[in-house]
Formats: sequence, C-alpha cells, structure tokens
Amino acid sequence: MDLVRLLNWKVILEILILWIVIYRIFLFLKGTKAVYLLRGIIILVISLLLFQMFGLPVLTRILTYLFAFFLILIVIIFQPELREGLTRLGQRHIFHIELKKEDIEKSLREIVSGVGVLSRKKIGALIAIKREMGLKKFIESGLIVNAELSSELLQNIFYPSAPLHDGGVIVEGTKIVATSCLFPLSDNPGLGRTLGMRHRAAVGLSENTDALVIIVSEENGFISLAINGQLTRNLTPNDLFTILKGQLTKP
Amino acid sequence: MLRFLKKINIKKAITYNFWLKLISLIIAIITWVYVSGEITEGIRI
Repeated sequence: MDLVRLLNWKVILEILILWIVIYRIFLFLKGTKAVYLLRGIIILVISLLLFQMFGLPVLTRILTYLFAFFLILIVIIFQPELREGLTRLGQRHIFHIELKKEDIEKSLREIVSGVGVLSRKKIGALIAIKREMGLKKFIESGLIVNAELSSELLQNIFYPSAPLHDGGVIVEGTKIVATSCLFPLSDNPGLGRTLGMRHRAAVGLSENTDALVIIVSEENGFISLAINGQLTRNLTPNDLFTILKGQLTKP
Repeated sequence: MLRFLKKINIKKAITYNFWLKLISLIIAIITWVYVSGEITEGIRI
C-alpha cells in the first residue's frame, strides 16, 4: 500500500529522467578511455564501503580525502572528453529532418556496392556517413565536392593513383560532400597494434561524432565499420548494408 | 500516431544495449531512493 502511494507520476517521471541521463552518460563513456576511470572509481567506492564495514577509520578518512582530490583531477584529465560531451549535447537536433527511407536505401546501396568493389580489388577506403551531428570541421579539412553519391564515383575517388584518394570521404544524405578529409586519430589503448592509420582515424571520428565510418583495408580488403568508438571488423557487403540500414533508420 | 508506433521496433528498442539500460535503471532507482531519503530527513529536521 505504501509502495502504491509512493509511485505517483512525479516519482516515475523523476526516475525516468534520471535513467535517460545515466544511460546517455554510459553510452558516451562506452568505448572511450574514461571507462578505465569508471572502473577505478568503482574500485575506490567498494574499498571505501569495505573500510567502513570493517571499522577502519584512518583508511576511510584517507580515501574520503582522496575522493575530493580525484574530483579535481578528473576535470583536468578529462577536460577534452567533458568538452566533447557538452558539445554533443548541444549539437543534438531536436527537430531533426530525416531522409526518406527510399533515399537512405538508395544511398546505402551505392555505398555498399562501391565498398564491395573496393574490397574485392583491395583498394583502401575511408567513408564517413553523417548522422545528426555536424561534420563541418572535418569537411573543411578536405575538398568540397557536393556530388551525387554513386558507387562509381566512390571507386574513382579511392583509386590509388587518383589525386583525391588520400583521406576520408564524407557522405551526407544522397551527396558526397567532401573528399580527402582529415579525421582525428583515436588514442584508444584497446585498439590492436595491427590497426593502421585509416582504422584509427575511423574510430577517432566515431568517438568524436555520431558518424558511421566505413573502412576498407588495403592490406586484405576487409570491410570494417566504426560506430561510437567501436570497431566491427571483417564484414560482408550484406552485413554492412544491414547494420547501416539498422543504424540510419533506428527508432 | 498508430503509423508512428508501428514504425518503432519495440523488441529492438529493448534489446539494443540491454545490459547498459538495465544497469542505468538500477543506478537511477538507487540514486532516487537515496536522494529522496536525504530530502525527507532534511525536512524532518
């Protein structure tokens, strides 16, 4: 009876908002080096609880002091991540205009077809697909093309002796917006040492933005996809199409 | 409205990042219970 009285709509609303905020924070931290920090904090909290439980006042006091010190340290060490998090929050479009499903599928078919050919020919490629967050900073680092997206154009751009084959391509809707773009390199220690600059750039861009980044390895022709700092490797063109479609038409 | 609801894949919405959602919900409930307890104690004083 007491529980029923407690669960009014305001309580549910408060818990719901808290849930969304915590979930978004976790989603942001997932795949970044801040995860290690989170683990460290959990260990410290558990230690503090154990010290209190066993009645060890000196250690409890030292750990309490350390917590205050850590708070300042976190702000200094993770200043870029905190800035990026706030930028992401501000850049979310509330009234986001979505592309028609047919346009999305048409673009994806062109991309996947192009990527398939590049993969078979073992030609390296780096393609970023813009979602909600703006990629202006990265577009400006390359050459603005604004061309209709097609499989043939993608193949042409990444052809090894073509002048624009270095750097990444940015796709927005049904257009190739820019080529030869520079993407930030990821410094995630979890990435394997065997990964080249192209893969690191793809993961780096996906850590900093919500873009979907496709990579074709020039060593073995493997297709990979980076989303939110996570790299999925060795995909078939069909897998790639399914994942991209799922991501771009997500509820 | 119905068309909008039909477009949402409920199963996928729940199962996508399921553990992260569950942990977040548990932490949200614990936080709410703790803070509301603190507030109630404060009011009593």
